[in-house]
Amino acid sequence: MTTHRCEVLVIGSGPGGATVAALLAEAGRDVTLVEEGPDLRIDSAPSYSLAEMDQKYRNGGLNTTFGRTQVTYLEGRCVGGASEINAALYHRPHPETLAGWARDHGIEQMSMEALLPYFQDIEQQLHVHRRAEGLSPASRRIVQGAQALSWRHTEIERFWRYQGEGPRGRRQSMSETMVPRARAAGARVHADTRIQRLLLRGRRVEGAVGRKAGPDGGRVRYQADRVVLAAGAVQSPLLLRRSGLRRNVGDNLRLHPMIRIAARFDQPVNDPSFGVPVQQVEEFKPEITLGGSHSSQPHIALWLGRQVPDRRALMERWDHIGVFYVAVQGQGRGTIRALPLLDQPLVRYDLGARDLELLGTGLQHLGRLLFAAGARQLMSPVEGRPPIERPADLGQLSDLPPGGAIAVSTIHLFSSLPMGQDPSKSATDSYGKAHGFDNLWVQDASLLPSSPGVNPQGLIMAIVRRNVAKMLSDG
Amino acid sequence: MHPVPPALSAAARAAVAARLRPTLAQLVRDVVADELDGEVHVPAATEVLLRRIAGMAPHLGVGMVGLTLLFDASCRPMGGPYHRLPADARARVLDRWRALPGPLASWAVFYEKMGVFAWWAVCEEAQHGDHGEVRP
Repeated sequence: MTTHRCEVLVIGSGPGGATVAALLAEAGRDVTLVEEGPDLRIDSAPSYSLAEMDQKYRNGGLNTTFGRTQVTYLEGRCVGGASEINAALYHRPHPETLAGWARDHGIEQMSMEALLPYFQDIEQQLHVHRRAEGLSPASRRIVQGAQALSWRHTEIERFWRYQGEGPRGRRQSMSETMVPRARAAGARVHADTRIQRLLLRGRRVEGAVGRKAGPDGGRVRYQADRVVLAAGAVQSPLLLRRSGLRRNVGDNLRLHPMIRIAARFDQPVNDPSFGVPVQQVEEFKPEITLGGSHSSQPHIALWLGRQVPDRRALMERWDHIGVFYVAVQGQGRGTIRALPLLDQPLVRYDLGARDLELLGTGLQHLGRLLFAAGARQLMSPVEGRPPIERPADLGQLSDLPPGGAIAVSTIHLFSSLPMGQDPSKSATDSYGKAHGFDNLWVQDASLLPSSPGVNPQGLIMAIVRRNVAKMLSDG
Repeated sequence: MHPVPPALSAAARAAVAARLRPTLAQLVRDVVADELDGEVHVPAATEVLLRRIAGMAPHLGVGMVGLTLLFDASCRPMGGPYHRLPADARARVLDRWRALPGPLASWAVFYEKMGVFAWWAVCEEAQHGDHGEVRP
C-alpha cells in the first residue's frame, strides 16, 4: 500500500472540491486533491458524444433512482466533475431561497448580502458572460414564444471566456480554472483514485484509504490533518455511510426533476454548433423552469419516441426539430444507501404527487410556449401517446401517469448532507463542518438544505468560498 | 476495507457478450426499423449497447443481463431465441414485455431508447467523424 501525507485531503474535484483545493493551497496549506475519474482536457471528446460519456460520465451516463417513477441522473467522473459535462450555466439564486434556508434551518450568514462578495468573485474570476456570438435558432424560438405570451424570459450567463479564445470562446470548467490554480499553488492532484473509506477515530478523521486504478494502481492510504469531502450529492454520503456514519447521512436527497419534449417546426431551429440554448423562461421560477436542451441527432431520435409515425422522414429534417425541457424545483425526497459487497449506492427517490403536478403544469406551459413560437408538432413525453398538434390538446399533459410511462431525468442533485445548526436535523454546521467532528468538512452540493430551483453550480461555489473563508479564519 | 467483488474474468465477460450480442443486434434492428438500411451501423450500435451495460453499476448491469437472458428464454416457446423469430412474433413479444410490470417494462423501454440513441450516435459519428460539435 502506498501512503501519502498531507495537511488537507480534498476528496472530489468538482466545483466544490476544486474551489476548496485552490483557495486552501493559495492560503499556503499543503493540499492533496483526489479524484476518482481520469484527468482529461476539456476538449478530449466532443460534447455529449458517446466518447465523452465513456470518458467523463459515471457509468457511461446510465444511473437511475429506484422508486415508483425512476429518475435517470448524470454524474461527472473526471477531474473537474460535473463542471466538465454540464452546460456551464450560471445563476445567482433567488434571495428568498437563501433567506428561507437561514430561517428554516438556522444557517448563519446565509443571505444574498452575505454571499454577494463570493458571487462577484466567481463572476469575475470564472468569466461569467452572456454569449458573444448571439442566440441560437432554438433560443430565438424561446424568446419568440415568451414574447408572444408576455412571459418574462432571460438569457442565462455562462462560465465562459472569450478573451483570446476565438469567436466561440472557451467554457470555464474546473479543469480550466480552479484545478490549474490549485496546482499552481502547490496542490497535488491524484486522479484515477477512488477513496473507499475514511479513517475515523473519535471526533477526528485521520485520513482515508482507497484504490488507484491503472497499471501502476493498487491500494493507497492518505494521512491528513483535515479532510474535506466534495464528491457530490451521491458519492459524499455514500462514502460517509461506508465509513460508518449514519445520522442524517443520505436521508434527504433532493433534485430537480426534468422532462424533455421534441418539437418540430417548419423552419430550421437546430444548429448544434451553438451548443445548449441559453434562454430560459422566468415567468414560473423558481418552481418551474422552461428552456432548451442539447439537440444532436441521437438526442432528437431519443426524444421522438417510438410512437411517432415515420421517424425516418422526421429525422431527414432533424434540423427542424429541437429538444426543450421543463425542470421543477422538486418536492420529493430520496435516500442514498451503501450496498453490501458493491461499491456503488442504491439511490431511491420518491417523485411525489406535487412533482408530477408541477411537471404536468410545466409541460402545458412549455407546449404553449412552443406553439406560440411556431411549433407544428410536439412529441408527447408520455409513452404510447401520439404527438400533439394543436394547443387545444395540451390539456392531456396535465395528467402524467406515475411509473415508467414518462422519462424523468435530472442533472441537479443535492441536500443529501444538509447544513444547519441543529445536529438532529442536519449533517453539518452552517459552514459544512460535520457535526461531531473536529476536522471533517463537506463542501459540495450535498450541503444545500433543499432544491434551489436554479442551476446550482454558482451557488455551490459561492457557499464553498464562504465556508473556506470561515475555515481559514478559524485556523 | 469495503469489500469489492472481483470483476468477471475477461473470458467470462466475452462469453456473456457473445451470448447477448445477437439479441441486442436484433433489438437495434427492430427499434430503428423505420430508419434502417440493411445492416449499416447495427454492429457498431450493438457494441455501444454492450459497452453501456458493462459500464452500469453492478446492481443495474447484472439485472440488465439477467432480464435480457430471461427475455430471450421467454421467446423459446414461440420458436426463439428472439433474433430467430419472425418480425411479427418479435413485435408481439416486445409489446408483451412493455405491458409487464416494473423492471420488465423498464427493460423494454431501455432498449427502445438506448437502441435508437446508440444507432443514431453511430450514424452521427460516421457522418462527422467526431460526433459533430466540439466544445470549444
